[in-house]
Amino acid sequence: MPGNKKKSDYEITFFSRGGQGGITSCQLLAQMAFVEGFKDVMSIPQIGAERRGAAIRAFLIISGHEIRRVSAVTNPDIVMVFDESLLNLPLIINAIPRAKCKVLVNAEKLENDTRLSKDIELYTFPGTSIALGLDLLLEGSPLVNVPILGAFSKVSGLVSMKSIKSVLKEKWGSKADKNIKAVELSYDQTKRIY
Amino acid sequence: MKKDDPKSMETKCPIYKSWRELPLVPISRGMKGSIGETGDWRTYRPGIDEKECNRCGICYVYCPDGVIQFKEGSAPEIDYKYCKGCGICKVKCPKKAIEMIRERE
Amino acid sequence: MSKIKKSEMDKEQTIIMSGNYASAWGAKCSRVKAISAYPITPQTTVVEKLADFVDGGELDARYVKVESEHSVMASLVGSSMTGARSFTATSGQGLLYMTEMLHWVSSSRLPIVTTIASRGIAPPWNIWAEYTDILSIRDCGWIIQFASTHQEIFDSVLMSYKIAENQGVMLPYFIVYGGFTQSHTSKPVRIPPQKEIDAFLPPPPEKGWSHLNLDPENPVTFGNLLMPQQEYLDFRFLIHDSMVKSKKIIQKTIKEFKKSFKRDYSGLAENYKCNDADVVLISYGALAEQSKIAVDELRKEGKKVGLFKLRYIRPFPNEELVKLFNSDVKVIGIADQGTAFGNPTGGPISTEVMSLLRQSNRKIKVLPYVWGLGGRDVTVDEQIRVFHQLIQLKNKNEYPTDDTFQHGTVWMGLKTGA
Ligand code: SF4
Ligand code: SF4
Repeated sequence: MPGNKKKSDYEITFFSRGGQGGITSCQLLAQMAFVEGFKDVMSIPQIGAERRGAAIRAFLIISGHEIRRVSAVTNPDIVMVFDESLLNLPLIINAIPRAKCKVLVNAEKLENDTRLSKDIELYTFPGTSIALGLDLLLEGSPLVNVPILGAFSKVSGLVSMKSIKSVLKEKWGSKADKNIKAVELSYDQTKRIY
Repeated sequence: MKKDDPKSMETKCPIYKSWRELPLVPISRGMKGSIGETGDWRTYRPGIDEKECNRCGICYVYCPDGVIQFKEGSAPEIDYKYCKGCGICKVKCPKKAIEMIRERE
Repeated sequence: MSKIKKSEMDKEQTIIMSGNYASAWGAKCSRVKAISAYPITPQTTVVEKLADFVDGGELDARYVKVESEHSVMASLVGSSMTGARSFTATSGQGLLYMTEMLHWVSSSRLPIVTTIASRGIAPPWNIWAEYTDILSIRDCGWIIQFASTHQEIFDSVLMSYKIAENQGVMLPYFIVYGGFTQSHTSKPVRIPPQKEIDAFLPPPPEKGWSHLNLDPENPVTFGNLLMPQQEYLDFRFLIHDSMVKSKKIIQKTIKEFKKSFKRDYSGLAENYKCNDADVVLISYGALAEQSKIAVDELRKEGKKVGLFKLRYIRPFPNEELVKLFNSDVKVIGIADQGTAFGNPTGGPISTEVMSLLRQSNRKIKVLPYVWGLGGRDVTVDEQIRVFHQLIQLKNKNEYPTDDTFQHGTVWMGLKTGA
């Protein structure tokens, strides 16, 4: 899509389930990228009739230019998958580019996933166990929307841990400690599979 | 203009010759006879029997043109310059103290 | 989104916020005194945010909850008649339900501001960007302005009150933006210090509007019957007259805004690279803003193309358009993101633009488009193809031949089985 995307635009797609905080992390990353110094950012929650547990998409564009477009993100540079079980959905597998894309999955291990193209870069991070270990829960379910930010920082190199921490602190003040610990752990435990 | 100030009620309805003279919106201020002397419309005239009347004021409330003056304790007075003779006061009077009399009779 | 403490507002803040929040922030910073609201997707978060502001003591306003959009506007008629700066927001069916009261507002000459997160009209239900809601009530006597960026939504609210409350205007004002593509996406928005906003937008006169003021000490009746021979006709003309004359006030306000806040909204329309263009696309809203990318791409290839973005459709930018017609332009495409079933083109604004063509003696070819209905994605590539179609029309006098060209208009994205 050469006409759709400028070279200095980065596009990120978030796949999550209703209630996992996908839209929140998209919004947070927009703020973090802006703090990082990008000229313009745009977070785009896909909205319709959302339900808890249903697959949800959100998109983020971060850019060195003013973002003038409103058309959908169809060719992401980075795809963030909040839970490996989402990869069972054809809708999601089909929306992941076959090449030139980094895919980041919350999974304990994901060695031989034949559903994904070999021409992408595949990364995993153990977001669920980090959340459980730190007691980051919402109504009993582990929240990976914060750990995923650290993994994003490592995989993308677009947003530094410094910017991530400063936004978390601004948002939660002294209560941010647990979240900061979570992003640090996930940064360290993010692995490239291939 | 103060409410119930009879002097100010005599203001004339302005006549506009050009749209350039108009205010932004039309408003009506309380004034007497903004559509002329409606007393001319009457074929029957309400007459109040002061002996029957119990001074309840119901005719004053119901008169659609507000031409009945009513002060507590005394019988109502009708301003025949503007009373249009509709007879609503007669229908509403609980004491049947109002009679509609043919004009010229 | 971090909550801004009052003390922080004496310096400029850049906050990443949704288009709906930009609208709510605009109302807050305009120090509105009366808000009436009924929620409707995709407007809901505007009035939720305002409820937060009022509840948290950040905005000193009366917030009235009612049972329908009709009552929303009816209650604002009351508040505005007392001279209170009044605000609401709505969308789609809600706007249509409000229609009767919209006339009541404009004919009472009340400077109420309403933001619209535009969406498709049901049935079938559709809640995504499309402007048929606002376009179908375009003749209600309200000023109608499109805001095609998040910043423009916020800035427009500040400007709208200054324009609407001007003695020479005294008309209500709609600010319109796309549902979801603008209402729910988030971008950085700069919020100037409140002191500077107050200097730009002083409060309305303490004694209320001079033409109509609800005051128990000084009773008047408003809205009485006017007979055919009385001035009903003349008051209608007065609304049209003020609407046309408001153009000067709009331009003046945009200049003042630029002086105060260093952001330039050009005027009733924005001319983007049209001066030497022989092919120009006329459109409005965020899709018009996006097509600037298409213009830039084609300019790189040496194609003389331009975009003419309508910021206002009421009042209509006649002079700006006639000036465009008298330039070098040979082919014009006009893209509507809304419908007018059975009118000459199928699109409301393309028909209106074409009605002005005879004010120029030049022969200009026109190709109307309808695009993006119900939030259908329109990509930059597709917009580039639109320009290619227009260039084809200029070079070879060829109209599109595919099945999307129907009754003289291209219905972009129409499923044709191809
Ligand atoms: S006849 Fe009608 S207008 Fe006359 S006093 Fe009675 S109610 Fe009023
Ligand atoms: S309604 Fe009848 S009884 Fe009552 S004040 Fe009038 S005339 Fe008298």
